[in-house]
Amino acid sequence: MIEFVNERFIPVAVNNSRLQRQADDEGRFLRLISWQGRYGYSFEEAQARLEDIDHGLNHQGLYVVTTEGEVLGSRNRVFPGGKASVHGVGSDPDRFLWMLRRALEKWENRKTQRAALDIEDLAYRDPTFSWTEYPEDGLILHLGVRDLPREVDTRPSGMKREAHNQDYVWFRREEVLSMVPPDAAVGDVIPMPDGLVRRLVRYHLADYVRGETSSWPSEAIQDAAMTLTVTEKTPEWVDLRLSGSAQLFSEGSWYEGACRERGLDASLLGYLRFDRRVERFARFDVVAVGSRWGGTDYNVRQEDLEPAPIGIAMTIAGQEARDRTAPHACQRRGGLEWYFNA
Amino acid sequence: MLKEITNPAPVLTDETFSELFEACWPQKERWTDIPWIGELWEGRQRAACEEKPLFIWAMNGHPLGCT
Repeated sequence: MIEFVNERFIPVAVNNSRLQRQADDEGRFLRLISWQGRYGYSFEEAQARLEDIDHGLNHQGLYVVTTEGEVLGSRNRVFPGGKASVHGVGSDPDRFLWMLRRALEKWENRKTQRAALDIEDLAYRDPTFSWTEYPEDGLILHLGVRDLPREVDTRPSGMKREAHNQDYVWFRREEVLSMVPPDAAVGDVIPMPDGLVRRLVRYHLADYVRGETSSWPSEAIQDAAMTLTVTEKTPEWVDLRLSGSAQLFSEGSWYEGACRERGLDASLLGYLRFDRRVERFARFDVVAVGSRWGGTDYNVRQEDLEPAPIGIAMTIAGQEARDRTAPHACQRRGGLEWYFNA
Repeated sequence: MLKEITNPAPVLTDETFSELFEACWPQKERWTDIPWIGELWEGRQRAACEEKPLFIWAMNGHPLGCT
């Protein structure tokens, strides 16, 4: 199936939460597709709804389309009553493959498709969202999060036991340099700058295991501290040991009031190597382990609210295109400013 | 305030670090073998150039990051 997708399609993965609200041509294109593919409107009916960015409806799904938004196939169709036909991507590989093949048949009889090089760059992008800025000369971490083994485990098999998630962590160059003072000596204990601690705990020490969740509000931080101890220093590098802890707690109302609080109590440990010659980290391996409890409306914890162990690992991200994906917390209106000023 | 922990997390030490790092880190998955384009407009332009249909994976949250 992988080879089939790679050979016959242009594969695109996008954040629907942002696009369905974008007041620009890119957002209109996503809505044109999803009004047809997910909600069953005709091409003409979908075109009439393109300017509606306050619809309050979810447009996620799998779509095969022409460059003009003519839908050739889709999954996650919503039927009257609002229930999607399929939950989860790839939950039925055979039906998914059938959809792709049928879409290719329709492709042979498509009504629309722009000619090569006929689509200009976007001249305007909705300015309420953030559109930069991969920190080329900064530090990008790739983060993995999952549940850890439990002494008493009542989770059902399948997704709720095997789920894991990922994210990316961004630091700008000046933030990287602020972690390692030039005159640091072996044995020195350097406090991690407060803003970086807050970013890590509010946006990245969260329970994303089964699905996206809200970042921690600022007042959720009960206690958070991280230090870097210089363990070795040469003319070429500085080795540091990161240690810390974080306690987060927030009240709210989730799952129709069944959940009134969520929390996390975690410790952190990491091993870092700063290359003094290029002023970049060559190693940044960090683990956070602790207990989480509660949930939010979208992270599928409604039957798993009691304290249970969670683990989060971070390391320097790779160089593939997907490794340039912005942190989840950035992908909201005004997201970058919010992210970098935690 | 902070809740009493009844199903304890493993202890994180220098000795357990590597094991816990591996436990937290997801195994490679096959969807990563697809060269996904992460921006819709760029994908649309590529589809026009290569005369292929777009296959769009749209999720709440970015599918290549956190969903």
